[in-house]
Amino acid sequence: MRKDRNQEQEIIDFLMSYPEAIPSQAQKARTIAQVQREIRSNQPVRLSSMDVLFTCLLLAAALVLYLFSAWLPEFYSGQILIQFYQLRYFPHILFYFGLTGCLTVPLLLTILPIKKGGNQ
Amino acid sequence: MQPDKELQFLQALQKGEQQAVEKLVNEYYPSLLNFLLRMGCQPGDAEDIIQETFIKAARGLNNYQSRNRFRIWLFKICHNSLRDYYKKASRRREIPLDPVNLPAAGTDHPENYIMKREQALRVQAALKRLPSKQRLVVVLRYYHGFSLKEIASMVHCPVGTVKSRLNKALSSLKSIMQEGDGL
Repeated sequence: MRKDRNQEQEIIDFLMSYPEAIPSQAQKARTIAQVQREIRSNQPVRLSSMDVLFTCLLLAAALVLYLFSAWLPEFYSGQILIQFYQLRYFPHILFYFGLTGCLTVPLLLTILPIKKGGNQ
Repeated sequence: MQPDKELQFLQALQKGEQQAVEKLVNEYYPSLLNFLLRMGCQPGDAEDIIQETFIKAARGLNNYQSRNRFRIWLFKICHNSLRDYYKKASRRREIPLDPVNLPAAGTDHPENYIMKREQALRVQAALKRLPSKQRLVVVLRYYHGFSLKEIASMVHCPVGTVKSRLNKALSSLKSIMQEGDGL
C-alpha cells in the first residue's frame, strides 16, 4: 500500500517537473480587448428613462394631433395636401409638421441603437 | 473564489466592466495556457483556443448557472474549444517534440535551465504517449487539482470511469518512467 503511494508520489513529482508557462502581457491585453468587445456587442439595447419619456411625449403628441384633426375635420392628411396648395391653412400646416418633427426626431435619435454601440 | 464574490464578479463581467474582464483574463489565462500546453497544444494554437474560450464564455455568461463553479465551467469550455479546434483537419498537425514548444523556465542558471528543459521534454513525451482521454484526466487532476467528481462533470462520464482512466494513466506513466532512457 505504502509502496503504491510512494510510486504515485513519484509519478506526481515527475509530472510536476514540467515548468509553468507564463503568458505575456501582450497576449493578455489582446484577449482583454477582444472579450470586452464581445461582451459589449452582446449586451441588449436597453430603453433608458429618456426613451420612455420621449415615447410618452410622442403618444401625447399623437393624441393631441388626433384631437386637433377631430376638432377641425378639414385637417386630415389628404386635406393638408390640398390646403397646402391653396395656402389657406399654411400656418396650421407649419405648426403640424413642426410639432411632429420636434417630437419624433429626438425620439428617433434616442431610441435608435446607432449612438449606443449596440448594432455596430 | 467565494460564492458571494463570484456572483459579484460575474455581474460585473456581464456588464462588461473593464476591471472584471481584466480580472477574468489575469486570473484564468495562465491556467488555461498551461492546461493547453500540457494537453500537447502548440503555443500559437493555445492562444487562439484561449481567446475562443473567453469569447464563448462571454457569450454564454447570461446562461451560466452559478451552481457550477466558474472555474470548472471555463475549463469545460476550453476543453470543448480544444476538441473543436483540432477537429478541423486543416489545423490538425503532429506536435513535434521540440524544446521550442516548452514553456520558458524563467531566469535560471543556464545549466539548471537545460536540465529543466530536458526534464520537461521527458514529461511532455510521457504525456504524449498517453491516450488523449487519460492525458486529460491526468492534467486536470494533478496539474489543476480538480476532484474526480469535478472532472466527471467536465468530461460527461461517471466518476468510476474517471477513476479507472486515472489508474490506467498512472500505470502507463509508471512503465514509461521505468523505460527511462527510452523517452
